[in-house]
Amino acid sequence: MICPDCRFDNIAGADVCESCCASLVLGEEFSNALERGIVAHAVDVLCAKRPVCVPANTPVREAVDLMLKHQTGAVLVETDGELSGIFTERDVLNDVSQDTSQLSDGIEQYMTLSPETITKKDSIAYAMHPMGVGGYRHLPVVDDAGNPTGIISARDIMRFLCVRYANSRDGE
Amino acid sequence: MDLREILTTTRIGRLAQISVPVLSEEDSVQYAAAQMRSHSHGSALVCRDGRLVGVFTERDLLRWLADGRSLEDSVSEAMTANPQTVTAEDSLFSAIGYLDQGGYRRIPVVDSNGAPTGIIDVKTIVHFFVEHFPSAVYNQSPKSKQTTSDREGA
Repeated sequence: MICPDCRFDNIAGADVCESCCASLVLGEEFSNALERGIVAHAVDVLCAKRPVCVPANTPVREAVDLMLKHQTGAVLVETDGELSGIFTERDVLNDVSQDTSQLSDGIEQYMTLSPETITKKDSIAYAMHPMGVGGYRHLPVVDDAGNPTGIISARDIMRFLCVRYANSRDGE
Repeated sequence: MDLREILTTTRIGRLAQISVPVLSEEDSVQYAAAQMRSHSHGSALVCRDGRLVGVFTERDLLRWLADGRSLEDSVSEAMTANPQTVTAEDSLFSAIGYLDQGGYRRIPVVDSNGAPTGIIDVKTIVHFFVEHFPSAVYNQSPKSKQTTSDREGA
């Protein structure tokens, strides 16, 4: 079975490509290359950024500094190694910017509890669902134990689709 | 129709958000943040004599707070001046090029006189893809590639 994406020659009957981890069984119902691609490719191919993780009692001021330092719009909140919340620029806009004395408060007061998550084995189409429907800009990637391992943004999805399926960086 | 064709034939004007706060340079950072909250939008367009001169975003607000600056200061000090802009007639493809290379999250849309008409952002573009390819996105099972851990009947 030749992988339709990376052309790796897999043994007959394999469900998943040994080389690129793309599914060899799903996606056959779609006629469009992009639809097949987003169903067959796992979130893994987006090379999710390593998340900035902080404990829940981190002061807002420190979280803001970390977001600026790492040029990210969100930090993940960990409790006992597990993801318990997400604190984003929007939380700063909605809450803290009304009263700057809140900069000293812990982010636990303003974070979003138990955010929607994905695993790196989920398909890109699956990751697009909460972004398209829920309007989320960031999605934490967690492992089977619920530990955060990455974070993907709407920009990662846009880049993947446009570079791969629209050759948006060609001809420059 | 392939994706490139869709992106080059779709005009930005079709997707751009028009409910965006528009401010003047003298408005305070505090007022800008309040306007962004009430519009549920992460940026505001700053104008002088009806022409766009800057964009103020959540990131600028973050920087302002981190630097310990006053929210009473005018937004013109905190904004990003002379941002990259697009027009409603430009293709989505060109907007994506700017967003990708510039690392921007959003780009203001202006008319031929430089007056702001809206904003195009990454989130809207992802939403556009979802709407364009709904069967692939909406039909996903809650857990992809579910398998049983034990062989049936064993």
